[in-house]
Amino acid sequence: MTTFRRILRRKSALLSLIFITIITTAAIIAPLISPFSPNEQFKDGLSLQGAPIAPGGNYLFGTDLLGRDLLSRLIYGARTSLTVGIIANGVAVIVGTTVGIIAGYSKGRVGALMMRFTDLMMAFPALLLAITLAAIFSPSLLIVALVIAMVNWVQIARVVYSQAVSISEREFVTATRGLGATNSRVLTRHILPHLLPTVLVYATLGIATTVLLEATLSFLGIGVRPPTPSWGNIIFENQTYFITAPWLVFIPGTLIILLALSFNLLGDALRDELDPTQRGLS
Amino acid sequence: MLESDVNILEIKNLRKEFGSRKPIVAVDDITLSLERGKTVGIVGESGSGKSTLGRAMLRLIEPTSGQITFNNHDLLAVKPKELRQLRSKMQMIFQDPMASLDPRMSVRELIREPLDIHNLGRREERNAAVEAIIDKVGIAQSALEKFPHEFSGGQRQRISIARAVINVPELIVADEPVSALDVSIQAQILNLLKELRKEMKLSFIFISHDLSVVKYFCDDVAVMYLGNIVEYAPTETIFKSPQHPYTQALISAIPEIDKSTRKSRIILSGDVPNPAEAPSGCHFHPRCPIAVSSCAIDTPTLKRSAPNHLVSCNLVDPRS
Repeated sequence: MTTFRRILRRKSALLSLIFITIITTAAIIAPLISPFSPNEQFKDGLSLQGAPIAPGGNYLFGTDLLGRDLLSRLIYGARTSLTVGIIANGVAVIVGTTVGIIAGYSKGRVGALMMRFTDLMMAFPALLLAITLAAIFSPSLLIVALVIAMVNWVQIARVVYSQAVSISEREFVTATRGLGATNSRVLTRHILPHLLPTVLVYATLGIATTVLLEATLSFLGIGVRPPTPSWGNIIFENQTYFITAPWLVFIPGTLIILLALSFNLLGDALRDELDPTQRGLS
Repeated sequence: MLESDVNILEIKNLRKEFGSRKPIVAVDDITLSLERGKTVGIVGESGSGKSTLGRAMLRLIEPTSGQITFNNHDLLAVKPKELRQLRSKMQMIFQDPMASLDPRMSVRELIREPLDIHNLGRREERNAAVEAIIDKVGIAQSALEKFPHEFSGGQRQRISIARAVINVPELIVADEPVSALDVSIQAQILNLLKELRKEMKLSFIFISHDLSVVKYFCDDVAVMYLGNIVEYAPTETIFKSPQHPYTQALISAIPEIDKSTRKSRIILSGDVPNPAEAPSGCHFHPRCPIAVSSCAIDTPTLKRSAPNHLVSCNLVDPRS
């Protein structure tokens, strides 16, 4: 049985995959399925007192503070959030893992230099760095994603580094070198597979952080430009209405949590199934 | 014939220190040679530096100084690429196969890895070679797709032996290959190694703390104490007439079943001293039952006491 099939046998992983697929599909075919334009302000979208409309009726998930349809904004917002989540996180994971593994395996001067640079990046306030970078490059979805990646790779590099150091000390690494293996073979075939659990957990946890960091950036006016919706900036825009119109915060909030949870559960399943010593135990 | 043609491995004045400020001398000054097809056993207590020596002679750890000649190649001077190629002819077997086999690789991948690394043959040929060698070491074909944790200690050691011999090496450094195993399994593994040695004409450096194992497997024995060889002789000589007081103590400690051959034990007091603060003079003098005051001052060197017998003791008379 393939790894993929084994993963699908787990209920939690299957549900997660279904949820991720639904969100992804919705994001891709957004124009076809969203009931309204995400940016259109409807005259009947606000009550006579100017308050947002509660869920139900014409607007399934209600309307936001400007009288726009929340469901449509969420569907379009999924595009932004998923893109940022996947690109930013992917880049952060790749950069962080590469730096960490090379520094951890090579030790010596190269490793020390790489880790001091990582420490430097870590000591730098993440938000300040993001603001600076966003000010230099004009904001676009890709730039926002890369800015977030620049901020997020450091933690991964740190964790991967410490793991890589301990794995390179294990005897099978010496044994493989003794067979005449090149460093790149040892790194990719013997050290990387052992780092995979850590990297997967970080990668999946990072999805939620990334989506929220994107929201922070939009809030500060350096993220995705309004009125383009993202799950994060929907929450930020509407948080002042939290008491009178809680759905505006709860619905996108729940979506972020579910998305993060799904990636997490899927990551866990993948981690367990890729480890031959764990296979079939849970 | 040149000496280097007879000897597959020659080690001269090999030294390994750990740490730089106050170095610990794990291997002090070792000179040793291994004749092609022969097996030299290295025995000593834990901390005597025998494992470090084994790894240093394959350059799995960098020696501090000295010279290693393997098959006429100066191992400490060759380029990294050449060293990697040479490694296919010199292999190591480790004490704990659970630690030395990557737990995430299947048995097939593990045994095929030496072929993959050196890019030998096509894929089908490699797999055929794996299937042939696994028979030879006594593992079932059905085990190929399993993982190391699914085996017993003895079987795991068979797998690591298969991995070591699939490239038909010339030299094998076996670091305590049976110490982690049950006594009943030890004999099986030793016999397997003996068979392979005969069939493939392997030369062995056999590191062990177990004298009876060494007696069974080795042609010559080197006894190590605190980073130095204190006695070197053919196995039979070492067991019949050990000359160094340390060797005598070790041999008197071997359990004997037959009462009539039982010797009185020489009990050594204390532990192996900290190698960072090795005793002056003869390193063994604080524990030596026959030490005299000059032993704390004079450092002994390996001297020939018989044609094939080297001893490093101030109190043993070198016979010209």
